[in-house]
Amino acid sequence: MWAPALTSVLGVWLTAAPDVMGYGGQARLSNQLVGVWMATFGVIAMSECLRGVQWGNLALGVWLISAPFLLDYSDERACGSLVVGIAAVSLTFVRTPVRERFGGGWTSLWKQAEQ
Amino acid sequence: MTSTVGTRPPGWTYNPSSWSDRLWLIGVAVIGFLISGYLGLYQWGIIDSVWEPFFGRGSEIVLHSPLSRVLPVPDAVLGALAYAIDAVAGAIGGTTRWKTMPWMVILFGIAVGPLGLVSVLLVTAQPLLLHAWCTLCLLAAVISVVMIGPAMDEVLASLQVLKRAKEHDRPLRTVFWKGENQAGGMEQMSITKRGPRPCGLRP
Repeated sequence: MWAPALTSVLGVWLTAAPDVMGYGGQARLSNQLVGVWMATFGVIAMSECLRGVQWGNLALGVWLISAPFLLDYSDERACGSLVVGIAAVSLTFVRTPVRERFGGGWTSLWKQAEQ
Repeated sequence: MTSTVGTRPPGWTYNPSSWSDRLWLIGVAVIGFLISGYLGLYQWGIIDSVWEPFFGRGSEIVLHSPLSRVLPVPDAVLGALAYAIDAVAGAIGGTTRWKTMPWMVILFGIAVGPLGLVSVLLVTAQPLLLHAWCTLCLLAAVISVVMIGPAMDEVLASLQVLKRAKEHDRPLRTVFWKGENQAGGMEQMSITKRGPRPCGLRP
């Protein structure tokens, strides 16, 4: 539970960073959009039955790592994007113990539908 | 968790419809309703000013933006309506409603899940289109997002009920509206002896 929670904190930081650090351009837009969704996925993934939502943050993390190259910005904004991206990607691979069981979970809905 | 074995869905370690799981969701939905209702009253012009501690004129810009008036009713009013549905649909039904009232659980899930994500989309529109933030809108969105995970487990249990009904060739519509056989518990996965099956109701 702490890994997705920490990821959502990163998302909040990413959303606020352009205003706190005072930068604009495409880096600002990218970080605000990615930040809002990273925080959202993180909070949702804190629930055990929706832990899989954290894979959305893997995708967002990969985007953050590639964004400075694709959108062509450098300096401290690129550095921040790389650091948060690498952290988000790493956090999706943290294995947190799952206490509850959910009758097979969401995959049970489409598994062995045709017998 | 006060659930007993009989109220738990098959293969579950707890009962997602227990009151301890639902009461706080209802409480949070009521708070969301109050916040959205306040913002809606401002958008309707019934209240003259709106509380905004951090972002200057941000709330005014966001709440009077063209985007907030895409529909005939201001978006915060619709938000308040959605929170009201959350609270009411969260409250109706007993602690086995995941199997006795699948339709209510799924209505609850739609109001919390997809509609909750709409409020996140509206949040992303704030910097993207308006270059402004609105504190109470953000708070309302946080409330929406916090509700999603804890509400969806119940939806999963109800969808599993429908899946089982389909697998056992039971009338999906009847199960959706009337629920799994009241006698159903952990051991009773296949419910076959229910009297004559209504014709034409097969999915």
